[in-house]
Amino acid sequence: MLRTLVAVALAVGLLAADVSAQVLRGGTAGDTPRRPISTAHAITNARVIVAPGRILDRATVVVRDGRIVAVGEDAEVPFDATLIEGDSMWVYAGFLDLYSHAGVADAEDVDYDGEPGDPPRERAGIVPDQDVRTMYNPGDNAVKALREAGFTAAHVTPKEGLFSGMGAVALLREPGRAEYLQSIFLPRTETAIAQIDGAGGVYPNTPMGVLSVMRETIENVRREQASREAFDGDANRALRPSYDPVMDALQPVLSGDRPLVFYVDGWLDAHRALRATEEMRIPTTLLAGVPDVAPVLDKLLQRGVPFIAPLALPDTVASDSLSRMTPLPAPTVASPGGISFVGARRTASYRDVDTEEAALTAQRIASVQRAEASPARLAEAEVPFAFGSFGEKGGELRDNLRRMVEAGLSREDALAALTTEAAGLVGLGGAMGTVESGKLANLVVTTGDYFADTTQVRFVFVEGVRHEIEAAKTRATGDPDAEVTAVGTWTYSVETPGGAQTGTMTIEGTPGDLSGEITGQDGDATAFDSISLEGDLLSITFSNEGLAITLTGTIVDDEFEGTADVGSFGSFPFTATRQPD
Amino acid sequence: MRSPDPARLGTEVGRLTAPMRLLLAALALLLASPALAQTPADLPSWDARGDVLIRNATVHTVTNGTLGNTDVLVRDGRIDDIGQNLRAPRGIEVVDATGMHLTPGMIDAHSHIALSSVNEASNPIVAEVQMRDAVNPSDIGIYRALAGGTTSIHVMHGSANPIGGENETLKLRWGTLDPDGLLFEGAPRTIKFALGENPTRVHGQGRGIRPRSRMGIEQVFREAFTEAQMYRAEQETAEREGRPLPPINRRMETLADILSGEVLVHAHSYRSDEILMLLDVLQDFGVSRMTFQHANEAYKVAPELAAAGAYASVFSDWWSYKFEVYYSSAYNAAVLARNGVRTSVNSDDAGMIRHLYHEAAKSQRYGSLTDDEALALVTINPAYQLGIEDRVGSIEEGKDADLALFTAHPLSIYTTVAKTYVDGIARFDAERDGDDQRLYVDPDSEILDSFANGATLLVRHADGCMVLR
Repeated sequence: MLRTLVAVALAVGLLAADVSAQVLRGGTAGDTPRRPISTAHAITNARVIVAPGRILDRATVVVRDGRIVAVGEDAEVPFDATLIEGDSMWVYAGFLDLYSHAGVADAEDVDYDGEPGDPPRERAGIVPDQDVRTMYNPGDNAVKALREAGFTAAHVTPKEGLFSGMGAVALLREPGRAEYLQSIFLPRTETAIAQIDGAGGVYPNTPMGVLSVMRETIENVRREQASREAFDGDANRALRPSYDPVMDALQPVLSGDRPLVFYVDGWLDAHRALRATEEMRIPTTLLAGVPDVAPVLDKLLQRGVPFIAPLALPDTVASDSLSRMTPLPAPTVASPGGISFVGARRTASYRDVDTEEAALTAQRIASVQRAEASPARLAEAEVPFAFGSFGEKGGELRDNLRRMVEAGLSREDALAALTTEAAGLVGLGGAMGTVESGKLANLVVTTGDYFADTTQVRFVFVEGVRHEIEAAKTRATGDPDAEVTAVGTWTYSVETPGGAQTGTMTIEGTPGDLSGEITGQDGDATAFDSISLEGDLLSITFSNEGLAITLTGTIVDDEFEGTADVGSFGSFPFTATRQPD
Repeated sequence: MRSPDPARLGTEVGRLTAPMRLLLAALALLLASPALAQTPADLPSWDARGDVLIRNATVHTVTNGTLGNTDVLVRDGRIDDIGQNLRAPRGIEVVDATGMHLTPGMIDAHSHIALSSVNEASNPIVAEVQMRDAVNPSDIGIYRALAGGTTSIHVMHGSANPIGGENETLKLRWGTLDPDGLLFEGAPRTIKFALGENPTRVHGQGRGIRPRSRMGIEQVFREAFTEAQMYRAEQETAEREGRPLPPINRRMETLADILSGEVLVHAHSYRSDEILMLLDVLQDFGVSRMTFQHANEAYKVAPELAAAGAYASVFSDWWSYKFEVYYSSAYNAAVLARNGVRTSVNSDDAGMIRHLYHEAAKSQRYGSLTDDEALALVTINPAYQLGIEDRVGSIEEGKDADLALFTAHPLSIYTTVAKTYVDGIARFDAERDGDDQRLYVDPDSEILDSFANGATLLVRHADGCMVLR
């Protein structure tokens, strides 16, 4: 099995290429959607959150051909609908991630070893013509993780460059039969992405260089546009228009047909971006990415610039007895963010590092709290805002949202940011954001309040395509007080993209002194390098052909459920059943 | 209630066990009096303008001599009245400055604090980049500079390139996180030039391109200016003929603005021969307003500088950090001043900016300048060099209330700064000076272990403006 597993892992790329062939054949392997007998679905007797603040306690949602066709207490269930009995379940409109790198490939490196002062535009990062739709892989694990967190659409963006390219909104599903890859993108959702991203070793290398290049580029788009118009009026008065992909990509931004989404990683760059976009007279700007928005909140309000808040949060900082005693000032009018300052502290001597560290810890905790409270602050100030996952892993998103809600963001505002506000900001308010007849069938079906940590996402519909979400992964921590034994002969199955692989493993010994081996389909046995059982959490490591493989999961009675982690090849679901003696 | 004496506490703490030290430190926190300390959160916003009556100080106007037992009335951020026994308007704060000395705020004509990047070193000419895009209002260096009476600084691009970016003149309005809040409204545009070893090392030695030598640097200037003239002519022709404007080149725009006198030149320079070279180049292209920065050998060409109306901004006594600065003199500032060159003394450094008055005082030890001449080196003279002399640099009615209040004569080694006002707002007040004045702490901030790295952190090896970021 082991060689098979490795081989399968290696072959993942090849297999992915096979998918299209299977689509044409109407194949059934993997996640490729088959042509269903009916496109109708009905979720019955569920609590339907139609829109933030509008709730139907017991209603049925009917979906057909990718659209919501009925929502209501008396909605009729069509005879051909696939049923989800929604009793005790909650139905939300699918969430929209307004700034995501999920599934987006890295841009290819541009080889350039000429003078650093004058690189080609691709190396300098002036690539507004780079189209995210040519760089996107809907089968990427990051897309799946986003979907499993309840997101059904995402504004995906290229990652590199100062004008890094065109973003667009994708539905988070794989293309259906006979569908082009690009057709999972929604038309007329193109954006232009800007970020203060130095070219690294060549011009422009610094933030000030980047901002200068942006100003020049935008001004020249204006001039080229004027020149083209003059040429159209009287060819003698202007140079002939030239093919200019930079111009073509940015002109819609200046005419107000396409928003400029400006990503910045902190409040200082946010100030700079707001000033630069104002000076460049950009009609529609969205600012994205500042963890703590307080220092720039007033300017956002003055400028009427909507905001895309990161769903990434800084790690929490552990407090200690000393830092808990360090007083921090309350936020003031002059300093709405509660500028982190310890006025009363007296460090006794330069050797007194303890006090210094305690003060810093207290300030860092306050700083994390400011980031957690940032969305609440946006809601309070009534700045239109949505969320973006940026590079954050799908699995962290719900935890972070919970932290934001605990920090004062109301569930209604959080939901609005995930649905209606987000859709409105990219002109998709008519197509998504609520559970209403006529909208795209983007739905999230959960076991309860999405913002509660015990709630599970059970189904996600993306344009009517049903995705059943496996129950949350095995508790990674296990239950330390559980009393189980791992000893026995187990038959296992590991789910790989190439299909299930099976075999047996045997574990013997006594608690604290376990050993064992694993046998693949080829019959070869490999001894475990290590095996440990803490409570019901079993961890096994072994290696095969130089690859370290780790099995982690929990044992309940005679069932083991967990993952096989094959390093950079990824993790695969791993289950095993103990055979009766 | 006052805090425990930190010095005494320090010696005792050294003998205590670790848990006791923790306890004591915690107690110290409780004992400290929050009411006394001024926090950045208390500070008025950047656009606030203050009102205050400073009573009975020795007022060093710099431009109109020294006035004993004099009051200065500040209204709405400006100096409203100077005289004796001024009537205090109702409700105004009155500061009794008996025995104290009031000077204009120090102005640093060469600084690199409060910046998140310094050098766009990738090209020999980057006239298009602007330091205003790199201003960082949360740099603790601003507060430290205020604690040394400094109220305005000229934050400069680095010296990696013959023609660097546009500099920015700032007012140290500590307490805001908005970088625009620090901009000195109406200050003229200035640009950084650099001669000598830095640009030839970065581009010539480092990349094998021009400039490789001092001769090469001259040609970079001459070609760039010539190209800018052609560029501007092309733009103007199109405009005159009503044709669409050719593409903008912001680099050329700025260079052309230098030629039209809109942008003042501040040139990093050391040797007298290269100073004369740039003087020639600028005169050939009709540029008249220039300041030679560092200019360690300027004393050799003081008459030529005076004749050309060029300014010099120098160190008091700092040299030998590289070959081209071996031939230097502590009398540089005095020789220049007495030869009619408007001269300033600058810091180029986050440490020295805290005691510019002390740097100025050295010109009395080395060159016997008068009090006013010495103070002018760090007040009205740098104001002229930055083109802000009608706003700051001296204590005159109508000027901005950017003031430093000293406990003793500002040129005395025993003096300390009691209060520093910017626009009439006390942005530094020694009586209310908390230990920690950081404006913003990130979640991942760390304690800088300056003892482990002490030597490298505390010793300057080269010009501040060679930071390659």
